[in-house]
Amino acid sequence: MTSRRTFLKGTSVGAMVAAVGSVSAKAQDAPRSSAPPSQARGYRPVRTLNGWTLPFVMKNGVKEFHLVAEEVEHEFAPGFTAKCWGYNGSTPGPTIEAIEGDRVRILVTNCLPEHTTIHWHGLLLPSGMDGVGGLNQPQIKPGETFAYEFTLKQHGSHMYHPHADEMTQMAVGMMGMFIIHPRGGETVTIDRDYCFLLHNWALHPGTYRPDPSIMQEFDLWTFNSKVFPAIDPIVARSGERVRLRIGNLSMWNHPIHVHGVQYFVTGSDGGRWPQRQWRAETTEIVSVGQLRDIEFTAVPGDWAMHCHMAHHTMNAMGHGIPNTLGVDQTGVEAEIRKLLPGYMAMGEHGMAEHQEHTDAGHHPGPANTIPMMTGTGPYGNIEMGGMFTVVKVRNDLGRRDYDDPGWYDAPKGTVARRVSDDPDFGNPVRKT
Amino acid sequence: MVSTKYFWRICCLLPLGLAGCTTVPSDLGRADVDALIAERGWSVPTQGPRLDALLTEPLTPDAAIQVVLINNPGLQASLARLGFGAADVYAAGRLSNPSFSAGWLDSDAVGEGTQRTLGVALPFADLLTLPARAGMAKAEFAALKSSVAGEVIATLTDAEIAFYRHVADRRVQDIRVRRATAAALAVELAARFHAAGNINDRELAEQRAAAAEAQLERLEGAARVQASRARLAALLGLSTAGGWQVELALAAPPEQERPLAELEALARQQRLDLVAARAEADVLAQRLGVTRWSRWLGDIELGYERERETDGARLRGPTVDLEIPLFNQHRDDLLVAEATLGQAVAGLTALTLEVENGVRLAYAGVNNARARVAVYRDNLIPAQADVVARTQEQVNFMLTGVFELLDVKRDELAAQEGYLQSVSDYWIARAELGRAVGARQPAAVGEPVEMESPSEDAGHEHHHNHGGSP
Repeated sequence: MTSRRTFLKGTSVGAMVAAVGSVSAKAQDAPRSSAPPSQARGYRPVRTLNGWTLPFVMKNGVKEFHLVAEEVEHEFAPGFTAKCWGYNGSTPGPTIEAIEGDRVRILVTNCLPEHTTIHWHGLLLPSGMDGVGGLNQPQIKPGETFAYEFTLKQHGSHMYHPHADEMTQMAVGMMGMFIIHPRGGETVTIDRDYCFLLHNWALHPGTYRPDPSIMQEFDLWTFNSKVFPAIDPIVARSGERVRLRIGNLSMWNHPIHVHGVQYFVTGSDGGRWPQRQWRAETTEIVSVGQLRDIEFTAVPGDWAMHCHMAHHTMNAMGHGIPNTLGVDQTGVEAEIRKLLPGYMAMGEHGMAEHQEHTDAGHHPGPANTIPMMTGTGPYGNIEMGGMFTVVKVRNDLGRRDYDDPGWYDAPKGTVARRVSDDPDFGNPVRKT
Repeated sequence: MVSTKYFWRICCLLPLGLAGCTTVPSDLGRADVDALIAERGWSVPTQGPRLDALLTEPLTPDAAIQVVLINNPGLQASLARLGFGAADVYAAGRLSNPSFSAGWLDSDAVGEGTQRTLGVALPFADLLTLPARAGMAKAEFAALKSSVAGEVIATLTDAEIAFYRHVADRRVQDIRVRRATAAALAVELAARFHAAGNINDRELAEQRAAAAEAQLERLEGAARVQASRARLAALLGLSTAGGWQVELALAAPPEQERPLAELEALARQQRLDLVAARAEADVLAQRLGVTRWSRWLGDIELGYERERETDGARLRGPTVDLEIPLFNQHRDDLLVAEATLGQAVAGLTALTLEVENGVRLAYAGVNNARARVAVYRDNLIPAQADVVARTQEQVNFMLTGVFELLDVKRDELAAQEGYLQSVSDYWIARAELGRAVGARQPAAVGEPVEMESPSEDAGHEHHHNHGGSP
């Protein structure tokens, strides 16, 4: 049986190192795709947020990839980890990229404690390669390696995931993206091509392994298995055409909202749509099992990009806890503290104060638990978590520069300003 | 006359000599009783502190025992029994008093004078059985002293148990008060939540019900404290109205218990009821032996008579009165003595078995209480403290609410209550083991068991307006 270590060492370290290129100092997962070397490969490679592209080996005209299904120690944000399952050391697994018409062979080694398969979600292929365990193929038992081999008949943004013990295997992070570039190039050129998967996790506060028995009450909402503020920013130069390929392998629909632009919904796992089908939107629901491509022209600034379900942009939250809004605990709080010295009344005026407490750290939370609200921007706390990141567009960015450029330096007079701190200021019209 | 001379010697010297052997002790055996008690691990105050001095400080278990020894009215009654025993010893060491007879009998014959008779008679059977009876009386007195000492020790053990029960009730009550406080705070908070429009009538009513139950539990605890104080007061011989206090420390159980075999051996030697029963059986065996020969004696009376006949002639000489065991050989006495001995031996056998089983049961009780203490100390108490600490962390991250925090605090307090109860159970079981073994178990030297109790100054509010202004 090939362990992950020997696999990496034996077959692909060299290839990976070649692919890594300039690794940002902020990189969390070691191997990641480099800045795209123009059209050298005949396509502009995608940039997998916080992830990487799997190198291949050409064998007699077949692009051979090797996936290893295995347990991984995954970090959702610095210091917050869990035992997950993924591929080749990460969740999501590495992105597979190829070109329409390629013959691909994908070796799948199972280093999990139970059988698995891979379903190539949305790909047109022989029934026997479709990966539904028991239906299309025998399951891949622990220690076995199976080969999937087919010719890519389409282009577009696709996904892969197990079709064996799905409840468990997807709940603990087994998923990846499969990007097929059109042979002959894009009709409308893309300057920056990002991809990521939406997912949910029942990583209960204080635990270290996602709980596969949860169907709705999830704790974490992720882009490529990361929560804000650990999610890479979407970096672009002003005026560039940016494409985001967004797949949803979670169990909720996610209305993905991008600030500052009207984007076009231009494609799906059905490929890039004919231009007449493109729709201008600012929020697009990416439903469960669906995939959407959106494209926009980058406008300078720092722009939020997030799921519009408010609780999907929070980290660990209490579900159905007593509502403290407007509850004056004066007097009682002091009495409670005689019994429970650590007690502090919270939330009388809303939850905004919460980030101050958790950031200050004087009232620690459960082990391995990411506070509900995190992130600090140039003007204060961002009070976000989960499915939230920032589109950072600058005028002066190099074409291949994907490094975080820091906070946007807004031109004078273009930032909202305080004109009074008197609550009775002005004569606002109120409904009587 | 030689025979007359010897007779007087026997009559006068023998009883005096025998009576001298059976002197009643001036303290009626109190010192012996004290020694029996002291040999069994209880400190008996010889020149101990005065009662009012003992009561100025909160009573420790040892001080409470001193008070019982000085002041318990039941003990005075037990000790009074020594007087009965002493009386028996006195009686057994004495002969029946000699009898004197005299007669003046006029004759109707002419010229004859009055016949004058003077006689003295001594019951001789008494004299023969005197040494045996004196010996038996001493043995019975020893048995009585054991029995009295046993009663004293039983009272001391009762007092020790009553002491621990009262301490446990007091400590438990402190916790119940805190539990009731936690419930009352939950109601107060619930009222605030309700006033803010955040919980409904049902949720408020549920909190009120829980708080009322905690109040009842607290009141029931207060009644228990009063009852156990009354029980202890009775044993101390004090009024419940008095200002005396008990020290509330409960020591942790010592590292090890003495081995069971040692305790069983100790019980065979030390149990005073066993000692008394054994002595009683010995006495009855002796009595049987004496009855075997004494029954043939019947009543024997030796006497001396001096007679002046009517004719003036003087007659003098010893007399003897003998019972002829012709129709009755006093076999009934023998049967009674045999039956009484048989009863006593059977009783001794039963008591021996009861003592052995009692030691094993009490030992098991000590070990069980000790195991419960260990589970509380090593598992439940730290686990419940962890639950509270982890819940507090969840509250800090708004993952759960204050009501759950108060709930788990109440659970933690309930565990503390159980812990204190198990520690006092241990000391009570140990006192019972002392009772079973007949000797007080060596005193506790464990660390006192303390429950955390957050200081009052932790109660200041440092945060209430935090979210209000930036």
